Amino acid sequence: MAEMATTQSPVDVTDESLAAAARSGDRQAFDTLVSRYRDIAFAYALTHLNSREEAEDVTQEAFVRALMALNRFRIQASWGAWLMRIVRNLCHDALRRRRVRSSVTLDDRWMDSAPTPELLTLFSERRSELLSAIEAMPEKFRIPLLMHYGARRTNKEIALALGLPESTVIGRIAGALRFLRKRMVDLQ
Amino acid sequence: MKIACLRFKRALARITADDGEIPADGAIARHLESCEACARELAWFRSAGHALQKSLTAEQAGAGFTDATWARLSAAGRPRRSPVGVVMAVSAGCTAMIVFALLIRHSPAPTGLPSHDLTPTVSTKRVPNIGGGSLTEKKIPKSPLSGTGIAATHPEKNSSDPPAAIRHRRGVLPRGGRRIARRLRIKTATPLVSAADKHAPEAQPIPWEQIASWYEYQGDYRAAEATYLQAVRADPSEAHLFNAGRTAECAGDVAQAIEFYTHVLKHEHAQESPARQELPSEKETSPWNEHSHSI
Repeated sequence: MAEMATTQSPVDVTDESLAAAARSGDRQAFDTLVSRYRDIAFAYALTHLNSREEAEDVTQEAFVRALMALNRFRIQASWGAWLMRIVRNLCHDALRRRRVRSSVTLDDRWMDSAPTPELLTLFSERRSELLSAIEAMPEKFRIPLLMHYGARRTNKEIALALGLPESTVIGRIAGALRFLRKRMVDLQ
Repeated sequence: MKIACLRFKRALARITADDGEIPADGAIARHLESCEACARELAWFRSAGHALQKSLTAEQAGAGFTDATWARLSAAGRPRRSPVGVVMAVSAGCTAMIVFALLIRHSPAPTGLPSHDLTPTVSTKRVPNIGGGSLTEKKIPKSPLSGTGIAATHPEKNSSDPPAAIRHRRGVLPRGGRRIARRLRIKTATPLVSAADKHAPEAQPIPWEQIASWYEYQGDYRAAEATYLQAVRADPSEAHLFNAGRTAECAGDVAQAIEFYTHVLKHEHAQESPARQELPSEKETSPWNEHSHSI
């Protein structure tokens, strides 16, 4: 398994093969696997937890659990989906421990330090209003929006992370945009 | 707002959220060419998306993320129990064993040893003839105490002797013997003391009926029946005889049970002639005796 993971191009090797090789100690396979899912898993954790340290911890723990419990993984399912399910569960656990679910203020880490001309033009320097509008969004809209526009994740990746069909993700991002427009127009 | 606008309103945001491309020959494209409001709205969505994409930045995982995860995975792959925990567990176990051994060693010696081991084997015996009449011969099953080194003593021939006690020999208890002894509330691993040992005045002999109850509890009704008969010899009471009949009934020996019950009734009617006097000698009727005797 480890040989297969190392001799083939990383793109050709399936997640399951890489996971098995990584579990048996193949560092290269492990690196490839982590590089595939690190960003989306971290983005999801960050959007939920809004804490870099916690997000990193949760993502690392998810990788470890997914690899350690490889024998419980059903081959019919996607390993990436399984990993993301673990990430979701860990995020929910972390939020439950924190008991301030969704009440964390969307801090400035999501905003560039230098506002772009588009932003200045569009929102007329109402940066705080934009942030509060995003914060006021239902979670089902906010998470895909932040993952899409903030973490630069594709709709397919977000669908994997959320465990939803891609069309649902597109619909939710569209809903987030409509929510944002209504909010900004109302404030004008 | 036109009706067509309502129709395409939701599609505009969806187009932006997707790849942003409008189907060239679709109904939406034709509507956007003719509806300035919808075209403006689509432009707003596109600008918002673009602005959000350029303005929102998410932090990326740290550079050492992969190494840290690998280290965690390596740590998780090792046994979870720390060496300190193993050492503590082993030392606690050893301490417990030493304490247990010391407790056993210093426990008081039991008294009232039997004069001889009455560990039964399968034997033929005669049930006691209480109140007259002959009783059938039957097999006594092997006692659960047999072979364990635990033996139930019977009353000495002298009826004034204390009731039986159960003994064991130190170090010869086979598997299960200690458990049985513990259930019978006998101190185990005590030094062997002779039955003739006079230095055991605080002996707490176990009554036959208690031993019989134990057999009964274990489901060994034959042994229970025989032990109840021993109890009758030690203390001729209808209760013991009735229990003997009851256990015989439980063992499936109805005829024998009826006989015992009959004796109980006779015994009640003949108070002046205690059943004990009619019992055969203990040596002859001991359920633990290998010799069969006819009454």
